Amino acid sequence: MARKRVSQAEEWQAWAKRYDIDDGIRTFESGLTLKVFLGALFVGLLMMPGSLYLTYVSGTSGAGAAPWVAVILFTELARRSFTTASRQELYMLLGLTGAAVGSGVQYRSFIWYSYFVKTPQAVSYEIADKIPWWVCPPPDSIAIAERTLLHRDWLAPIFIFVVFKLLGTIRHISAGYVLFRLTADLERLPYPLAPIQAQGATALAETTGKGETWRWRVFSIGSMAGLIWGFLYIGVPSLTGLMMTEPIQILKIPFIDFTQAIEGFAPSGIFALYTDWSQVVTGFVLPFPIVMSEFLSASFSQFFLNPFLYKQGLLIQWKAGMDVRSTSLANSLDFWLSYGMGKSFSFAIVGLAASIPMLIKMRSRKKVGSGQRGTLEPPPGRGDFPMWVMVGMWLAGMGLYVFIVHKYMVPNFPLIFLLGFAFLYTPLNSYITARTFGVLGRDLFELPYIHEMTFILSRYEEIDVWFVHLPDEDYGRGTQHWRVLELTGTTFTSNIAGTLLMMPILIVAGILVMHFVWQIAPIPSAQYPYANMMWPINATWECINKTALRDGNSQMLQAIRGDYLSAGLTSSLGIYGLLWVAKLPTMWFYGVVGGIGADPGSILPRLVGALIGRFYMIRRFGLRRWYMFNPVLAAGFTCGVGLTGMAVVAISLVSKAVIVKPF
Amino acid sequence: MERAASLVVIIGVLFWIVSILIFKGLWRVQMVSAAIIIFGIVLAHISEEFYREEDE
Repeated sequence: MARKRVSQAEEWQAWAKRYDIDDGIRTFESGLTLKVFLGALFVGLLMMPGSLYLTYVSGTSGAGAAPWVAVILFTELARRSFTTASRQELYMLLGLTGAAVGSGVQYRSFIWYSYFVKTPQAVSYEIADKIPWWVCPPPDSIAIAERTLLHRDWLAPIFIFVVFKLLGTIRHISAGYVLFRLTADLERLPYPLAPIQAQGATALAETTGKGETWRWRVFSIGSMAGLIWGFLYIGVPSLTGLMMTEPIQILKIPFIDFTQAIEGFAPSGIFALYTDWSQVVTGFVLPFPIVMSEFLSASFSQFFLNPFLYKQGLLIQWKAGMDVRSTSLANSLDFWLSYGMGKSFSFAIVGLAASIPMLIKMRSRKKVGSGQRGTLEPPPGRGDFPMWVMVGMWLAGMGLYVFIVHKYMVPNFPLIFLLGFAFLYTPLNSYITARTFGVLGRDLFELPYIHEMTFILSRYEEIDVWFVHLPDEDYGRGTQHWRVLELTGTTFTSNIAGTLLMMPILIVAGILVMHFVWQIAPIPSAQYPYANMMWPINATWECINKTALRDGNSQMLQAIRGDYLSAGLTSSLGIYGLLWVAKLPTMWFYGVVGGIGADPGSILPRLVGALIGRFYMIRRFGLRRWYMFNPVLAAGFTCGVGLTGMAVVAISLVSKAVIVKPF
Repeated sequence: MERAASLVVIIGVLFWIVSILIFKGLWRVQMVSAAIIIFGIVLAHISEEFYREEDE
């Protein structure tokens, strides 16, 4: 009997429903209340100095866990005040606290360039005197000598930063929204990782109500598992590292390398088993066909394809005895870098091939209700905007940004390249990323050395262009956030209002906190051990990178080969086409193409999770219940690991602050 | 329409295999086969959007 074709519309719609936490039925409410705003501001600003300080002391900021800590504090306060917190409020709190904690770090380039401009490396590479006025004051500035950001010499860099921040916010909100509408509303891509945050906020919100449901129990189980895993994987090495010269690692971090063990039967193949088994939880959540096909395709690449390419003389740099890092680099330069670029383009092409007929059909057919594939009709009360307004906002934000860069920052750099980045590369890059997030929950598109390529093609030789933030942006990652807003029933307008209200406060607070941290001691110095150790090396790397094209040559650029790039594009399109011909699900395409060239050892933990979910959990709990449980479990797990991380960072901080006197 | 799309995709894939085996992977020839496959994929989606309901 012939296999029945399941159209892409039916396939995506089914997956989107599976990942929808309330079967798509929800009412939308504002998450922005005064208590949320003040709570986020208070907790965020309380944690921001510590997070910034830790970045220089230990290299980790602990910012990832801070929002969960804030939410738990908030729910406990709510319970003790005999009031409730809605999931909209808690999700808003997660987002705003994250923004507040991270707001100090955005100014670290000011301190970095204040240091860099005076380094012997910058002087010897003849960069020090060429750093533009909008990056940092000159090396002899009194602002640098006195380690202060509150000086008129910083006016220009801070003004440029604030203007760009404002324009960047406009661009990210508008472009992220448009991409969300195209991928989530029109195409109904499932966004498999979006329910994690949504279910986390929902579970915690329920604790403030009268009746606790299964969500809180599952969240607690996940949190306990996360605490235990976090202690074993992060806690033990970090804490023993404080006391011993060689920290104890129960599992080798980040991987156990078997590359040399497999070279006998799979020369030039890589296999490094990643030991971060928290990925098992991600495997629970991701669609099984994707994880399975990704693993099979990665195994095929490393055990059959790489040895074949090696025998054919395409992988020429690999030598017996190389470890995973050297083998990956060699294979990447020889083949996979170019192939990977080609396969990434195929995501954009198949996305456009699916979307354009849908858009044409949408214009010609009768109006369909929201929640159906092929319609841009938004659900009522979500707080949507006309698409043309958002497109107009993005065009205005990007146009003004390009104008400032061209007129005041790098006037001699050819405008055509800035326009190309802004209006061709950025939309393409963002659309591809939005699609890969919509299906795989991660980014797959990367054009390496695109800046270097541009600078060579432009024949521009001034150093200032290296310091400009070129308009190559990626709004695709942000689309998942809009999906979480939808799943939690938070109105889009309240989220935008919260972001815009917080922004001016955080801009001022960030500068002040950065100023005070710099006042404590010079950065880098003995008081900031991580910066003291890493910054001199980073300065050397920055000099090497920024002067790499002085002779118009680069080893990396030579690695990009047209024939391999075409092979990546054509083979990926061929896989998509053949899967369609064979009436197989499109999910397999994303898995197979995503896994080509990858290390199967990095996918193995996810595969274990996917197999346990598929062959034990679904049988034990049933498909529907398991898909309800697993995002809550994953949210709890993330929270548990984050809490362990924060505790470890706090202990490290206290330990480093204690000065042991010799008598 | 569905059959035509399948045929175009298969021709594109066969042409790509030829481009690898006979033309040593020359990028121009590969891009021609990519164009054929893209045409097939576009036809496939057009058939899904416009003709599937009629076929059923």
